[in-house]
Parts: sequence; structure tokens; C-alpha cells
Amino acid sequence: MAELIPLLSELRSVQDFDSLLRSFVTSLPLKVAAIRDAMSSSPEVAASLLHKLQGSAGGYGYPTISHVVGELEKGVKDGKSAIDLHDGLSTLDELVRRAQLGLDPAIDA
Amino acid sequence: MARPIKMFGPMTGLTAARVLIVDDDEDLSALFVRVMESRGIEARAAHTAKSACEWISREPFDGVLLDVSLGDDNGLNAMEFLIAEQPQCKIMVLTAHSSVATAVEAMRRGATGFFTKDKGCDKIVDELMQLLNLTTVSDKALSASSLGNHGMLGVSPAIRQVISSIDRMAAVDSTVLITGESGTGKELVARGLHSGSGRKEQPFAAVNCGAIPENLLESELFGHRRGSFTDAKFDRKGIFEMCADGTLLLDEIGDMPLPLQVKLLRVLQDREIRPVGGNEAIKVATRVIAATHRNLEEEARAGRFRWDLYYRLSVLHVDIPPLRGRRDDIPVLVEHFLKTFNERFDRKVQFPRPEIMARLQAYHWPGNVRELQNTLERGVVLSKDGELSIEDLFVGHGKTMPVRNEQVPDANATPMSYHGAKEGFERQYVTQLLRYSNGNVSEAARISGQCRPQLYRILNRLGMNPDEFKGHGGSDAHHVSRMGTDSHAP
Repeated sequence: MAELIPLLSELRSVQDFDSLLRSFVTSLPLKVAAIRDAMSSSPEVAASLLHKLQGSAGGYGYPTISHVVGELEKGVKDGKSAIDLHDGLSTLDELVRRAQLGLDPAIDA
Repeated sequence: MARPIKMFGPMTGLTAARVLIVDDDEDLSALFVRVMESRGIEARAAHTAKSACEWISREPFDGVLLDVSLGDDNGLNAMEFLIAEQPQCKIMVLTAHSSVATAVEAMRRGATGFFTKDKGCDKIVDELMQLLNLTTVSDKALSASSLGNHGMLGVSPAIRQVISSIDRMAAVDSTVLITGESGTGKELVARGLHSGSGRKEQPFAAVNCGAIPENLLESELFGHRRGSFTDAKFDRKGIFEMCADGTLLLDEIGDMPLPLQVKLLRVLQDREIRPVGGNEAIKVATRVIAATHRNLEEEARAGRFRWDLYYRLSVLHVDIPPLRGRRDDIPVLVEHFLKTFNERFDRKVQFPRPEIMARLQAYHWPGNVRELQNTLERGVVLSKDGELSIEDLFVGHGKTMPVRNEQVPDANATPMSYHGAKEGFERQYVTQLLRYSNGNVSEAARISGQCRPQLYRILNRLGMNPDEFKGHGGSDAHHVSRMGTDSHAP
């Protein structure tokens, strides 16, 4: 398996945002899990969660995550299921792992 | 014209711009708040349209960053309320992805700008600052003098409005009435009106109507013919004639004697003057600007000023706020005067430390900008180590130091809660406002830069009744408060 390349936030150079970035990235797996759950139970909720994540990921300086989440939102609104969107969700999982790798290890949560 | 720049940040000592972030994403809101605060913006966050409206009802904002999607609510629905409550506030719409339809709808409803969140928080804040005409402290090198226009310096909305008025009024010939307390810069405004007009190559003259005896004033204004009175050995042109194509400032017009008011009214109506002792009429195209520290409506009601002349003079009106009503301008003015006096006296006195600036901003400046100028001159001259000190600045004020010591908290005291401190400040401030305005809410609103409904809301919240301040003696009561005898501090 290829080694993952850390995904860095565009805000990483801005001072004093480390703790906020860490908090956001740490919360990502839970957010993605909630989106997965909603995809099978309530597409509307899933679309809403995806919409929100698209915005916050962009705001936190992760445009790639924001883009992928935006595509997923479109898919859900088009009536696609979690199985249909498997590739997109896998990409999102990978981006989340890369974002976690990109956190500064010197700052302990 | 100089661009209206608001300069802020901890280094300048100026009050920050205030922005409300409306986003149901609490993480993102927190990030926006942090980014804005790091740039000197005072940021608040609301997560629902309802709480946004509550914030807007309570406090003034320079801008609102409004997310379109607020859970089950559409942020655009809150815009009507936001605009109605704070029409001066710029609304920037925020959405997760670019949508032309949403952007068009937002603009149609009155938004100033439109951002997509994928830009990243810091870039959005950058653009927001541009839209709000804000610049960071890195631009502080910008000369203070370049901030002003027509010699007027300041960054407050109040002074920007004055500058904007001068720009719009300069080009026309209409009579202008300038009101404001002594030392606020009425002549500066008049000169600005002249220099911004097509008459700028023509003479500008100023006459203090309160300083010249009645009989001499008439001769001074309209001229006289030889032999018209004992000392009239020769014909003499009056100021109107000398400024026939220029601008004449009639300062302290409220002190002009009633008989002369009649003659002035005739001049303004007929555009011609008659010298004392002369029969012929001389055509003049003088632009008349009148200035006074008095309330001419009150003077007219009391029979001391002619209503018809008041209406004729006040075709256009510029009201210059007192310095205490635009404290945000004090650091800019201090910087300007320091530069002036450092150059004049070959000194290198530094910009005041924050605690000194806090005192300068807390003082009430009854003599307005002129008093501040004199204070800075004294401070520069007396400075020993290149730093301004309270003692040097306010030398001669004796033991009753004209600053409100409660503005500088005791570092050893246990701090009260934020809300407690805020309410305490509000109560004290509103008390001061109402004392000064003698319980007149309209006047208090004007001084504070708040709209009347907003001030009423604050009064209701604090449980204060403006009627209780009527009959306190207006600015005299305020003066007493200034001298440190105010017992209304919480």
C-alpha cells in the first residue's frame, strides 16, 4: 500500500489556528460516519450534512475535501445511494486520513 | 478625494470594525471569529436567523457575513430585517458552493458581496475587509493627513459623513449653515467648501459676527460711503463686495444683532448690497456660509433670531459632531498633531502608550479638536524623554484630573464578568449621554451615533427613563460628571 501524503490546510501558516484546525480535523471521521449513516436512512439529512461539510472544509483551508464533498452532495441530490457513491466516499476517507497526518504532531490534542 | 479608510487594530488604539457572522456551522463560525479577531475585527457569531436578528437589534455592526443555508432556514430571509435595522451595515452572503442564482438573489435583496466557502476563511476575511474599506495596521505608515479631506481628519462614520457632505455641497452656490461646538472646525469646513468649489481662485473671507460691534459690523460687511458717519473719511468696500465672486463665512451668525439680520436677509434674497450711507445697490454673487455654536431654531423660538433668515441660511446644513462624540478619531488626530509639533519643535515624541491614549479618549474635550491640539502642543513641548505623560498633557488641570479614572481598571481588582462589565459601561455611558442631552433621546442618539430606536431598546433593557434626566442642566451637568463627581458608575 502506497504511503499517504499528508494533506495540509491552507490555513496552516496562519498563527494561532492550530487548535481550531486540530479540532476540525479530529471531528472529520465522526462527520463522515454520520453522512454514511444518513445516506442509507435519510438522503435529505445526508445532503444537508454534506453541504455543511463542504462549506466548513473550504473555510478551514481544505478545498480538495470541499470539492469531493460537493460532488457527493450532488450525487445524493441526484438520488444516488452510498453504494453508487462508494468511490467518492473512499476518496473522502482517504482525504480525512491525509488531513490527520497533516496535523502538526508537536501540538498534542 | 481621499478614500474613506478605517484604520484599526491594537497598535492604533482605534476601535475595531464589528462584524456579525451568521452560520449554523459552529466550527466554521469559531474559525471566522478567530481569523477576524486576529486582524483586529470585533466579531460575533450567530447560528440561526433568529439569533442574528437579536444581535442586530442589540448592537451596531459594520458588516454581516451571512450564510445562505442556516439549517432549515434560509439566511436570505433575514436580510430584510438586517437592512431595515441597520441600513449602513454591509451584508456579505456566504454559501458552500457557487450558485449564480443565489448570488443574484442575494444582491437583489441588498447584499454587498458574495463569497463561496471553498475560498478559505482567511481569503474571505481579506475580501470582507476590502468591502468594508478596512485596512490593517500594516498600512499605518499611511500618513494621517492623507486620511482626511478638506483638512478634516478622522475615521469615524460621523466625520466621514461631514467630509462627504462637503464634497457634495462644494460644487453648488447654495447657502450653507455649519453648526457645531466651539473648536470642532467650522471654519475648516467652510474653507473646504470654498476650496472644493469653482470659486477656489476667488477670495475667501471670514467675519466673526459676535466679535464686532453692530454699527461696525454693518460697515464691515457692506462697506460705507465717505461722510456716512464721523470717521468715514473715505469710501470703503465691504467684505461682501471684496468677495463678490468668492465665499464669505459669517461665523457666530447666532450673535448677529436682529437689525442686521434683516439687512443680511435682503442681501441673500436680492443678491445685492447697499453700503452704509450709499443709495446705489451693488450686485454681488458672494456665496454665504454661516456658522454658529448656537441652536438657531431655539434662538428663533426665543425671538433672538429671525426665522426667515434661518430658513434662508440653512438651505444646506453641516453639523460637526463634538470630539467626544467621535472618540475613534482621537488617535488619528493625535498622530497628526504629534507629527506637526514634532516638526515644529524639532522633537521626536512617540505615539502615546495605550494607557495614555485610553485617557485621551476618555476625556470629554469640551474645547473639542482645538483643545486636543493645544493639549498635544503642551505635551510635546513639556515631554522630557520622548514620551507623552498625563501630567504634561493635562498640566494646569490641578487635582481634578479631567479624565475618568474608571476607564482604566485597577489591575489588582478582581475582574467582573464580561456581561457585568458591559452592562456597567452601557449604564454609565447612557447616563452620561442623557445628562448631557438633558434627557433628549434624539440628541443623545445623534451624539452616540445610534439610531433612536436602538437607543430606546438600550434604555428599555437597562430600565432607564430619559425623563428622569430632564432638567439636569445639559452640558453643565455633563461637565460636573467629567470632573470626577459622577456617582453613577455601577
